[in-house]
Amino acid sequence: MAISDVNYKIINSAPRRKGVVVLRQVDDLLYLSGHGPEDEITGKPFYTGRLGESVTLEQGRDAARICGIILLGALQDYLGTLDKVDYIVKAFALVSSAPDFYNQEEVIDGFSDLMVEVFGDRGIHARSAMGTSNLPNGNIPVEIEIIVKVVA
Amino acid sequence: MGQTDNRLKQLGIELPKKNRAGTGMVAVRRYRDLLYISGHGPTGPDGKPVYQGKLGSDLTIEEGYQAARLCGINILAAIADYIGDLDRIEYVVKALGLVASGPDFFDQPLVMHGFSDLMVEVLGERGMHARSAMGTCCLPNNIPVEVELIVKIRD
Repeated sequence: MAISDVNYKIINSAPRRKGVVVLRQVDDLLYLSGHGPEDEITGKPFYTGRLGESVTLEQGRDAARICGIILLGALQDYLGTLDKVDYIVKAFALVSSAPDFYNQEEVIDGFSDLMVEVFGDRGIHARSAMGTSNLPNGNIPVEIEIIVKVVA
Repeated sequence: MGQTDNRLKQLGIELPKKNRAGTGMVAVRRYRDLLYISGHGPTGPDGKPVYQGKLGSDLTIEEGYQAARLCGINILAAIADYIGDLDRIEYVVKALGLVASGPDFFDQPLVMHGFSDLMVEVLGERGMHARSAMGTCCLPNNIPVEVELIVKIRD
């Protein structure tokens, strides 16, 4: 399935503060910085707050999906085409959570489902999800970083 | 029976059978001769957590240690499921340990020793690894410990 077949917009990555880049390449691995569900031009988050407090599970899943879309945008920006992605290797996913919120996995499925939607088997990945109390940018509910293998 | 399987037998450790259910996420993803292993919790053979709660409020360090050890057993099971023979582990590279902690609990490394000790018990020097441990408010399913791992394998 080509990215163009799916009806959503890939946003270009905004420049980062000095020292921090969107991604770093080592041989055929790309290490991508953690991304939140933010407008890549303005940096404004689409959601803020904790799961189990002000953010519902559905909103959390959507936030995770948006993180995925932004990460795809960063990949497309760098590689020119997502066809150069060989497969997604590993995701590390942070969920801003109330101390008694334990459904981080379901939230991050919003991201993982998108990867399979876009890439099929190439989108399958190892993943760790955790809850935390505070995330950047006014407490975005989700932040995800990924490691991606590119075609040689 | 491989050398590592023998060692497991000596230690009285039986690896649980892996449940392959799930969509986008898999337990193990390979990159060349590295295995990236998803975060694993202290679940029993039925997939349910054996330990729940937070260190410093609900669980003792000893319970946390045992929970981390169980994470290690589940990770070894995932590796065995993927590569077949654990002798193919050349060495363990890097672990990240997440420990659900009350606000005054700072002994996450002592908890994570439960995982690290197991790696060396089973794999000897091959089990030594770089490691980071951190505390956090809450983990999926209210597990007290979650461990992810990078492992180097040989053919």
